[in-house]
Amino acid sequence: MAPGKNITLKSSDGEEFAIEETVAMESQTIRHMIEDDCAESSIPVPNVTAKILSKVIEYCKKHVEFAATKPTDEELKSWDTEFIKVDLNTLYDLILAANYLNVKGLLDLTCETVANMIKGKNPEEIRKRFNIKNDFTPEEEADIRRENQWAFE
Amino acid sequence: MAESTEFPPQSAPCINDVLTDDELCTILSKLRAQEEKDSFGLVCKRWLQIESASRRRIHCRAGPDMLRRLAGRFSGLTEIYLSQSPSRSFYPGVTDADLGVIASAFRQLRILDLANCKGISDNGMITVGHHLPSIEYLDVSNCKKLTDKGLTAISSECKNLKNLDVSGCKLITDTLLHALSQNCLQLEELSLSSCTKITDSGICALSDGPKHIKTLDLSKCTNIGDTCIVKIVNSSRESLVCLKLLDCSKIGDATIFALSENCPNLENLVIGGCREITDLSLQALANTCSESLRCLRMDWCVKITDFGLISIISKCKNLIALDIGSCDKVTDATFRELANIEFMSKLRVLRASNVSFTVNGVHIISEFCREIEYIDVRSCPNVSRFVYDTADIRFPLSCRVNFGGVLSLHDALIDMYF
Repeated sequence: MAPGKNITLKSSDGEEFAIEETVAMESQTIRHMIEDDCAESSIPVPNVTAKILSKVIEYCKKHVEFAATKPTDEELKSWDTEFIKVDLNTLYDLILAANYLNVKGLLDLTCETVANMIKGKNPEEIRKRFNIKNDFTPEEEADIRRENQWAFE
Repeated sequence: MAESTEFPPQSAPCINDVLTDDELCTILSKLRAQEEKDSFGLVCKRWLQIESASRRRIHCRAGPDMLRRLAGRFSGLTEIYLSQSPSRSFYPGVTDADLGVIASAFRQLRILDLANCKGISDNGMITVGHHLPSIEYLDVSNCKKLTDKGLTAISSECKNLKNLDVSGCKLITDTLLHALSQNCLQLEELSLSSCTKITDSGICALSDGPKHIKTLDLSKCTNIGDTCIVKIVNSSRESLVCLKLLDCSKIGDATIFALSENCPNLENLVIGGCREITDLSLQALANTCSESLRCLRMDWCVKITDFGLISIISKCKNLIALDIGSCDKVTDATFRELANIEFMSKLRVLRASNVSFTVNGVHIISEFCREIEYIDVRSCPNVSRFVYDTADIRFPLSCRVNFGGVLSLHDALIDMYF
């Protein structure tokens, strides 16, 4: 792979990150900007802080590397699993960043992680885990359960 | 996957304050089991709305109240299955009023299954047609009250109709076929089984319209003859995959020759009860459809002899189901052909009641049809249970050999293969 030029990304709190073009293009959002010739010397990423942006860049760098080295499914999964061991706040921010920057692999990984926290739990357990207030009345909840019994996929 | 670090609940943010609906929707899409999605929907009102809006398909047996609730909750449905069981149905079942609720709630509906909903009438169909122009698949089989009036309304509004099942709607006439011919050019699958008022004129008109018919079921439409089927076959040609003409006794060689000239992709053919068909056309068919033919039902084709059947059995390499019941001129010679060419047939189902072969024929079948699952030899004059047992024939262990009874397995197999 020929060495591409460098792209600079600027986080919402002003920090700049110089990365290879191939790494930057893991983000479909940035890819479109580059292809449409809108990319100037430094691309601002206003929604994403430096802390999160550096994590996203870490993910993109590693996955560009993986495309070349072609690791086993296990090695890939193992790296992803370690990478995503972050606190809940960071996890949410990564989801937002991955969605905004359109990095499909990272969005899938982060959302799967949250989905796995939901699986196997009843609604009250899910609420506790994510700090959600129950805004159903007991009657409303009973109605929904009844509807679920009558309507299936 | 291991859970990420547990965080004390008080300092953790509420997920709803951080993520937008877009991200929550993506998280929901990672849940597969209905149970998990149901739990998701019960967490809070916002999650319920996201879950409900994401649902595309629903099966329900619901009275009018429940249907209204479901219409309110699941705004994005494109497929609704309301079919009732043919024998027991809760009274009054789906009504025209229910169809009104559905028509106003689900504007992007593509699939509507109302099989056996005997309570609905033309008014319900008119409402559906008027509000749901995107319908592509409509099953109103056995909705006995329906007439041309309701169904022509559907055809004139639902131009994208691909799949229509009106079997058992005995009041339907050629009028509907004229309407379909003018309006529903995307039509691919049509079932008019038991619509006994249909005649040649209607089917001829139909052939002027949609040109890519894949499946046509005219079983028990006893008035139709070769002329109209030949026309349809000439118009749909390689599109035709399945043709059912059960008990259409006027059908003869002309139809089968037309199939052999036009339809190299024919997989499923039902000509049971078409007594006029002879060996000559069957041989032609075997040549053209040697790769494609999988299921052939030709019980009561009483003119057929070993001559015609040998072509089928030896040329149609992918044949998995064959019904030659009451073709009483058929003898061991047909199956001896398998041994002659040493061809291991893929046959899974063989219905051969009242056929003239002997236990030698059955023996050959057991040797050359190693995938056979069911063989029906009821009323075969030369094959009785006793003769079979003493002949020590070894079918695969899972194969059922039917000498004289057990109808339920029988019916299930008919539906599956023919």
